[in-house]
Amino acid sequence: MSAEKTERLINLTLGLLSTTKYLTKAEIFANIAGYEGSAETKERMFERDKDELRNMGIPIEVGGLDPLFEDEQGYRIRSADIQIQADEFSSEELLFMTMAANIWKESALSTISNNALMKVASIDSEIGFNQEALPMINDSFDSNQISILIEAISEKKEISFKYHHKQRSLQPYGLKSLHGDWYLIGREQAEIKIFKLKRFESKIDLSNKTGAFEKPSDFNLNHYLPNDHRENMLPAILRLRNGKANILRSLGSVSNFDAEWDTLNIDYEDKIEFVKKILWFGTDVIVVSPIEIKNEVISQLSRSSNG
Amino acid sequence: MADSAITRAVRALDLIPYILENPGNSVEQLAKKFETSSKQIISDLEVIFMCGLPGYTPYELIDLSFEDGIVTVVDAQVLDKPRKFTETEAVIVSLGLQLLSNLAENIESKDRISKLIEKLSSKFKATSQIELSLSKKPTHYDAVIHAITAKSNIEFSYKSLSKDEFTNRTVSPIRIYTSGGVYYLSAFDLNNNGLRVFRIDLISDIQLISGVYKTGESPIFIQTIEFEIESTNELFIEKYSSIFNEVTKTKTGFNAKGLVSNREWLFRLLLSNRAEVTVIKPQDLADDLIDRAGKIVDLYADSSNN
Repeated sequence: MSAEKTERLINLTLGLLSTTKYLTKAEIFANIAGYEGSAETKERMFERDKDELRNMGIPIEVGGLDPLFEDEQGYRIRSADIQIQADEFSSEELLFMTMAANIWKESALSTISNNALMKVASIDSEIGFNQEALPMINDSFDSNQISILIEAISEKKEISFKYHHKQRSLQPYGLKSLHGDWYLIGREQAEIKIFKLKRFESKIDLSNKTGAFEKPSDFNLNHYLPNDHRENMLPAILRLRNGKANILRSLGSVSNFDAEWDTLNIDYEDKIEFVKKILWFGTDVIVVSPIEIKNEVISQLSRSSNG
Repeated sequence: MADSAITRAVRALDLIPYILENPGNSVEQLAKKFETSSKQIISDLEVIFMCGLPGYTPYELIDLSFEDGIVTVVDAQVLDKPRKFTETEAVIVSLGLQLLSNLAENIESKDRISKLIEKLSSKFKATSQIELSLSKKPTHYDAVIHAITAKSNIEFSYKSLSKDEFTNRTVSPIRIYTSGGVYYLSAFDLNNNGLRVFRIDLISDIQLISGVYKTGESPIFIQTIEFEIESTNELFIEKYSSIFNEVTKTKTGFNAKGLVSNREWLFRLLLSNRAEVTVIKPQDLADDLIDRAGKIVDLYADSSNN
């Protein structure tokens, strides 16, 4: 059943992609394999196939065949709409894109970068470069979240999500990473606000409607830096084992404590997130203050059940 | 579990141009490259065998050959070009290019990469609305990359972050990583005989030296895991959905099963989320966690740190 439908979708794409003139429904049903049953059934199948293909980024173009018969419409897929054309990118550009996609190879977004990489390799299999000479992005973040937000931003779809215990509705304008954290910039009612992706408390709901809002033409992502979050920051003192927890070190100021330990002065914003970050470094980090964070770390570690 | 018809159809549209341009791959290699199973690739190929242009005589069918496990496309019909990038793919490529441009060794390549970024942004609207923060390229970045490419050992002076002190290090440089805007060198430390990580901005007086280039070995590890996750932490499953292949609802939350290949990462992840995630399997991982948690608590008992 599923194989038949897959076949039909492929055949429909191939048929509409290869035709130079618009094909009528009658021509499609008569010539493209897989359309069977009553006229009504075929009609329904075709409408559904068309929608599914469109949702996967394969738009079917509708055009009139004969100016005298308005209702006789035809269909086709234009190669330039769905395929990368042979002369679209130079070989140097293909090389740059291969390198750019490879940078993500060990990150949470590797599935997306791999898809892009396979497409570039389908244009030119001879791209040679030195993988070792590339830096690898090693930040951890939620790839689902990022993919949904990219879709929302590019399609201008509204989103809603829970943040600070409240349900928020937003027109997403842009995404920005700073020191390994991602921030969403968007409009909530009349105000443009910044949200930290790590602090989302629910999945993101994406509305279906595309083009649901207009972004102001003078909107500039660079004007919205999340540094005004500074005022919500609280100070903490940690001990770090010598030479360890380098990621934390870059976020605060370090001084030597004794032969085994260093002292880190660091600011944090969110208690839960900060505790998780501390626990990540295991026996290489000890909390000195505030007492609230210290107690939370110890209480989580002392949980009676396993793991 | 099985992929939907549309997902398979779209994969076929990606598979054909790839095989056409890259003949001689085995089913296993294709499965690995497309991040799916060999079984799925074979069943996709079986479907493609039946597809083609109207007429559907052997002349109009997509012509695949499948010999000794090697797949080749003889006639791809109109599928001779890959699908366009999706917006998401374009964004990821564009962000990678931003990083490459920041690290380019000369103005000319920086310029050409910037032009490509502009070109992508004219085709894909989202690319200009998503940015990576880029920190300054460390002074010795190029020297480190050259040593990695040449597989040459290096000697450098390394500034301690805590003390105003420098130590001399001799290492086989392996890879450069970036995290939180900081560049790190992962290297085999020849004096300590183990893998170490260095911040590249703290490296100075770098020199190539002779000697055997060592990379150490990281053991391959694939582990079946089973967790109990509290209902308040549903987002954990969302966030790490790539490691789970079976999630069922229970009275108190969720039971999730899956596969993980990086034990150290898994271990830290569990430590971080100890409040909401309980390990059912494997037992040794659960034991190690309790052990490590105990060791951390012991550190707090040591009054010298307070």
